[in-house]
Amino acid sequence: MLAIRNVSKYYGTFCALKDIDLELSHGVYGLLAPNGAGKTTLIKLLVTLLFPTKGEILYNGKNILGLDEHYREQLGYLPQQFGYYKNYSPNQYLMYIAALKGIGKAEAKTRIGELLRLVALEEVAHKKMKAFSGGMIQRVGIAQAMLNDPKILILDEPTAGLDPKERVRFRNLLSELARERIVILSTHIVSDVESIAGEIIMIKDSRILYQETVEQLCQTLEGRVYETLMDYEAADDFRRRVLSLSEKQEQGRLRIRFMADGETDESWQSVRPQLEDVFLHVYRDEEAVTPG
Amino acid sequence: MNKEKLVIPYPDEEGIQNEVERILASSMPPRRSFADYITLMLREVGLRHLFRDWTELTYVSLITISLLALMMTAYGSAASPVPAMTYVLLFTLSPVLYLSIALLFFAGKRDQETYQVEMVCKYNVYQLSALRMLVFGTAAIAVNTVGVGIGSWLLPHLDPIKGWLISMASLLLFGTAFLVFMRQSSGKVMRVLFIAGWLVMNLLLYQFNEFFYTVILNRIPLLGYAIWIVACGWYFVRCVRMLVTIHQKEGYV
Repeated sequence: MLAIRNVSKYYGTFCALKDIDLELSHGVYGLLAPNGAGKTTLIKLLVTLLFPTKGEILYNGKNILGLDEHYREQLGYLPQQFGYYKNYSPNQYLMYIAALKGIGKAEAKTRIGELLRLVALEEVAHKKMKAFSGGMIQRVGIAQAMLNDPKILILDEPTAGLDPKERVRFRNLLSELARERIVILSTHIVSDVESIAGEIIMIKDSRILYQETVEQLCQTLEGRVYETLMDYEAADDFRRRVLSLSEKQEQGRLRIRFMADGETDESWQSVRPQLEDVFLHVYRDEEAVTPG
Repeated sequence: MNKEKLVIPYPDEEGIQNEVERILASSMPPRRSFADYITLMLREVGLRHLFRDWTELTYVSLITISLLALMMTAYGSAASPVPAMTYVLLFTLSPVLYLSIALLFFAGKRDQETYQVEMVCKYNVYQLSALRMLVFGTAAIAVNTVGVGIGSWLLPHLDPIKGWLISMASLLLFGTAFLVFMRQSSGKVMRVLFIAGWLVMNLLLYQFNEFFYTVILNRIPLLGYAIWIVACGWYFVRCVRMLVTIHQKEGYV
């Protein structure tokens, strides 16, 4: 169990996170917020790259800073900017990281073989990484995070650079892994977590806004999300009255998915809210919203 | 129905103490001595991975040793090498190999992209640095010992014991100073400051080598050097030990 107790993080006078309280047990947790909301700060606190200005983070009841290497032994981490040595092959790089994780040579060889197969990089295990695509590098990053079979797996924007097929494979992989560990997946891409996260954590104004299941989050908008078909000419005026969530062209007209409070119209069709709708609603005032 | 009252005897002081120790021993991570920790780290990480970039390490070591050998040979083959200059040269050149390697490989730089991944491993970059400094130090002692041996064979006025003690004293003094400097900040500025300070000091020593030799180096008795070496050696190990448990105020990034 990972418990974040009353944690705040300040950079000088700037408050990045304030009074964060969370409890995480097994399963996938989607840390969902726009860029700049404090996701990466929270992640860095969880992996001990940053220390809280106030509060503490406990793993099985003990402060993670006090646990030091005993905590890091349980940890797998993929940073947002995954660094690697260009002249290394995945095999060399993973052997190096395995050594830093204190894994014996024989055990590391077996584990690296398994992981490279898992992330479909077996064929290029001995090729230098400088020739790799972004997706391939990201898969090496995922493999290195999994090397020590971590009890806590923390992934910061892990799907950046992955193509749609790789994303699906990655999501399936995470669902499989999360059965016996805590997986924290930070992202601003709703579809990355919608289908696999047991709980979604949303940060707004430096605080935790929600820690709920996808269903519970969607219920917060129950009866307020609609779709309607209209002419393009009427769209501008309509957008001023409601919160437009998504728009697409349909038979020469515009199908708008939107949120409205109070007023209704018989041409509006009530629809089931999705996580993306919640995301757009919660962060409607903020820039850099990237549903997908 | 008669109910028997359950009586639990209150444990004595010793019993309480034993129980507390048993609970602590089972729930706290085992305490290891520094030597055990370093041995375990060396076994788990291995020399091969301790120096990730072997090419760079070999390159820097060879260049430094060649330069040192060249300087010593040039000086030894001069018409009349003087003791003052010999010992001053020994004093200034002894830490060069250690410092050149340490400056390059001290700790993963924060701007290096791999820093974050390496910092959250069981052995982070500071702990690796501690092990590296110990291994570099041992290697530098071995190289210096061989160097003094060759020097005393080439130069009849060089006393091998005094030469070795001066070389060790210098290596440990500057090795420790380097760690103290880097503890403040391992950033570029500190590295540049350290190199600049080192150069200025060397220039002064060469300029006033006669004075430095007669007033300081030649006046210190052999026992004095031995005490110097033990004191610096103790503080060097202490600094290395601090690296293992280093905790920066705000974090590492």
